[in-house]
Amino acid sequence: MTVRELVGKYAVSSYSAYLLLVMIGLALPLVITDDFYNRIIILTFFYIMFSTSWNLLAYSGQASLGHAAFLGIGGFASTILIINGVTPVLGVFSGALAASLVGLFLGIICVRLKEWFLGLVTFGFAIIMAAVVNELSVFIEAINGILSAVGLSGNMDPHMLGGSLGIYSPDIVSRAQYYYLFFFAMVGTILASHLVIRSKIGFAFAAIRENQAEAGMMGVDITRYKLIAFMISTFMAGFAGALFAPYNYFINPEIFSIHNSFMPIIMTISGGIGTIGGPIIGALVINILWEQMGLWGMSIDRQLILGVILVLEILFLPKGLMPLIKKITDKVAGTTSRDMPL
Amino acid sequence: MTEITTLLQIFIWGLTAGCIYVLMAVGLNMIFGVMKVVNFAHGEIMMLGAFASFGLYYYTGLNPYFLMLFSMVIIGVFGVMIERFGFRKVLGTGKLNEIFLSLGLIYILQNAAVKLWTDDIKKINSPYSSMTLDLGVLNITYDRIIAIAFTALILICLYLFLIRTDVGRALRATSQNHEAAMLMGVNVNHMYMLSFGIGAALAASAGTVHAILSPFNPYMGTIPGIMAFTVIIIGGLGSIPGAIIAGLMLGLVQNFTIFYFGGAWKEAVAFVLLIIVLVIRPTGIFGEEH
Repeated sequence: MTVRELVGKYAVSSYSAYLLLVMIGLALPLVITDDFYNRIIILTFFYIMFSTSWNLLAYSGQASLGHAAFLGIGGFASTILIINGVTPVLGVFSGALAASLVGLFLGIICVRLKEWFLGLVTFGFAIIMAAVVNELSVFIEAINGILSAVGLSGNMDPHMLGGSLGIYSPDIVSRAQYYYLFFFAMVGTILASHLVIRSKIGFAFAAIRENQAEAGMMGVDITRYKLIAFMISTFMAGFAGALFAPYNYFINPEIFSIHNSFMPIIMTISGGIGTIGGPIIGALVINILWEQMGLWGMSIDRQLILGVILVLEILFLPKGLMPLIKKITDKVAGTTSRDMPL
Repeated sequence: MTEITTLLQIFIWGLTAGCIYVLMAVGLNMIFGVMKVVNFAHGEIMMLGAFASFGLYYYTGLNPYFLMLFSMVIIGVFGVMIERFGFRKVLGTGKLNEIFLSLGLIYILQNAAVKLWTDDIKKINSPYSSMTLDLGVLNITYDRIIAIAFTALILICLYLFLIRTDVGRALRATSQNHEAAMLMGVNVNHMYMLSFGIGAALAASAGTVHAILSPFNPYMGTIPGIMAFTVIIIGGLGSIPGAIIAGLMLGLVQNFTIFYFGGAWKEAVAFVLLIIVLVIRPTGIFGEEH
C-alpha cells in the first residue's frame, strides 16, 4: 500500500495544493516590490480573513448580515489600546477578544432566532453601531490624531492607494513586515477555521445547520455550539479589524458600513459558502475585480456591479466557483471528488 | 406650562416618526405574512418612493400629497416586478438565498439611485409647509397632521380591504396556510405579487411623507428600514396590530430619547428596546409561536 493510498487521494491533492499556495505566498514579496500591489495583496489577505470568519458562522447555520460590527469593534478596541501604550501584540489580541465578547453577547440574544430574525438583529446591530460611533466623531478625530502621530516615522505617503479607500499607507520600510504579518495572520485564520470545521465542533455546526431539531435530539447542545460559533467567528473578525486599523493609521465609523458587512458575504458566496476554499477564492476574485474597477475610475458603478453580481450568483450560481475549481483540480490530480469541504 | 408644551410637541414629532415606521412595518409584515420573506431592501423601496414623488413633483409642480398616490402605484408595480423576477426565483431554495438576494437589491437600488439622481440632498416642498394649526398651547404644522391622518386612512382602507373583499380574504388565507389556500382555488403566486405590491406602495407613501417632512438623499432609506425591522420584531413578525402599536411606540420613545439624552442614542434606544423584547418575549408583543 502506497502512502498516497494510505492518506487518501483527496487529502494528498488538497494538502499539496495548499502547501504550494503557502510557498507562493512566502515568496511573493521577493517578486512584487511595488507598494501599490503590495497593498492590494495585503488587502486581499485581510478580506480572506474576514470572509473566512463570516463563513465559519454561516457554517453553523447562522448568517450574520452585520459582520462589520465585529470588524469595527476589533479595530477600535485595538487602536484605543495601542495608542494608550499597550504593546501592539497584546492590543491586537485584546481587540479581537473584545469583538468576541460582544459577539457572545449578541449570540446570546440571537440564540433562539433563526434566519430572518438573526439577519435582522445582526444587520441592525452594525448600522446602529455606525450611527452611535458617528455621533462620537470628536472622539474619533482624537484617535486619528494620536494614531497618525504614533505611526508617523517621517515618510508617510497619504496618496498611495488613492482616496477611494480613504486610508493612509504605513511607512515604506515596513512593507515586507506588514506583508508577512498579514500573511501569517491569514494562514492562522484559515488553519483555525479548517481545524474547527474538521473537529467535533464542526460536525455539531453542520448538524445544527442542516436540521436543528434533529441535532438537538441526537444530543447536540445547540445553544452551546451556536455560541461557540459566534465567539470563534467574531474573534476572527475582530482580529482582522484589529490588525487593519493600526496598519492604516486610520479608523472611522465607515468601518461599520453596510459595505463592510456585505463584502464577506459576496466573497464567500462567489467562492462557495460552507467550504474552506470558498472564502479564499472569492476574496481573491472579488477584491481584485473591485480594485481593478477602482483603477478604471468607477466608484458608484462598482458597487452597483457588485450588487448585480450577487443577485446573478444567487439566481444562477448559488454554489459559487468552488465546484468548478474542484472539477479542474480533480482532473489535474487524477482524483475523484469527495463530498467534503476542500 | 412650557414644560407640557414641549412634551406635547415631542409627542407629535414622535407620532409622525411613528407613522412612517408603521407604514413601512405594516408593508413588511404583509409580505412576511403571505410569502414568509423579509425584504431587507424595504428601506430602499421607500427611498425610491420618495424619488418617484420628487420626480413627479419636479416635472408637474402639483400638490405632492396628490402625486403620492401615483408614486404609490409606480412603486407598487415595481414591487410586483421585484417579486416576480427576483424573489419568486429563489423561493424555497433556502432562506439564506432570499436574504442574500434582498442584500443584493439594497446595493443595486441604492447605487442606481445615486447614479441617476446623485447623492445631493433634496426636499419636496409642501404647499402647507408654512401653515400651522394653533392650538393655544402648541403649534402643529399641517404637514404633520396630514401625515398622521393619512396613515390612519391608509390603515383603515387596508383593514377594510383585508376583511371585506374576496381578494383580501384570499390574502389572509394564503398567509394562514399556503396549501389549504391553494386547494381552495386561490392563486398563491398572484397573492405573492399582490402582497409585495401593497408592501412596496405603503413604503412609497412612507418615503413621500418622510421626504416632505425632512430633506433626503439615496441613503435615506437605510435607517427607517432598520427601524421598521425592529418594529416588526418588537410587534411580532406577521402581526399587523403589533406593527402599528410597536411603530408608534418606537417613534415616541426615540423622540423622547433625543430630548432627554441627545441624538446619539436615537438608534441605540431602538436596539435596547429590541433586545429587551427578545429576551422577555422572543416572539414579539403580538407574535405567535412559529
